[in-house]
Amino acid sequence: MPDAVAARDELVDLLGRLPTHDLDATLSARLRECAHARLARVHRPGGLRPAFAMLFDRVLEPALVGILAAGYLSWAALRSLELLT
Amino acid sequence: MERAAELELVGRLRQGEPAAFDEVYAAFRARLFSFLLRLTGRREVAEDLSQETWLRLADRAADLREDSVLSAWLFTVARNLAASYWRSRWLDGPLATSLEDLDLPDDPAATPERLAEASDDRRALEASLAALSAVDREVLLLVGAEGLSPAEAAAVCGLKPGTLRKRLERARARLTAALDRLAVVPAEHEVNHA
Repeated sequence: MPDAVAARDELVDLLGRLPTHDLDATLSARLRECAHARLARVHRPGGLRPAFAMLFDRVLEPALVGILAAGYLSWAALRSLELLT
Repeated sequence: MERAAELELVGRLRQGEPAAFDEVYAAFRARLFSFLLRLTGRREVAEDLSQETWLRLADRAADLREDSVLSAWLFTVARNLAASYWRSRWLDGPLATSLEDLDLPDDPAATPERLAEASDDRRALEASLAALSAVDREVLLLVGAEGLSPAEAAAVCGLKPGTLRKRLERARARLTAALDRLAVVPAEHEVNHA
C-alpha cells in the first residue's frame, strides 16, 4: 500500500513537471489587443449595455413605476370615496 | 503570485487598467492554454477557449470581487467553457489520444540530453492523460499540473472538497493503470529532482 501511495505522489510530481505550452505569438498579440479594446469599452460610461437597456433603466422604468403607483392611488382614493358616499 | 500583489492587481483590473490586464495575461496565458490544450486535446479548440476566457475577463473585470483569486477565477471560466464545448460536441468523436494528435511542441528550455531522458516518461504521461475521461483529467491537471490546492480545485469544478478528493484519488488510480498499460510505471523510474 505505501508503494501505491508513493507511486501516486510521484505521478503528481510528474504532472507538475509537464512542459507549458503557449499561444502562437501573433494570436496572443491579437487577443491582447482585443481584450484591451473590450476593457476600454466596458469602462466607458454605459459600457457594453445596449442603448435601450440604459434608456429603460434611467427613464422608462422610473416613469412606469410612477404612472402605475399614481394610477393605483387614484383608483384607491376613488373607490374609498364611492364606499363612503 | 503573492496574495497582496494579487489583490492589488484585482483592484487595478476592476478600474479597467490595461497594464493590470497585461500582468495577469503574462502570468496566466501559457498556464491557461496548457490546461485547455490537455483538457480538450485539440489545439484549435484550446485557442478558441483561451480567447473566450480572456475576453470574458475583460468584460467582467469591473464586476470582480475585491478578494477574487485570479487563478481560481480564470480556471473556473476555462473549465466551464470546456464543459460547454463538450456538451455541444460530444457526439463528434473522441478527443485526441496520442501526442501526434495533440501536437505538443517540446519544452524549449530543455537541453537535448534532458529532453531525451524525459521524453519517454512525458510522452507516456501525456498519452495516458489524454486517454482518461475529461472528468478525471481536469482534476489531475488542476491539482497536479497547475498546483491548485484541492479546496481551490473543488471550487473550480463546483464540487465539495470531499468529493474532489475522492475524484482525485480515483483519477490518480486510473492514470496509474493507464501508465501500467503502456508499461511505464513512474514509481519504477528514477526521477531527477535536481
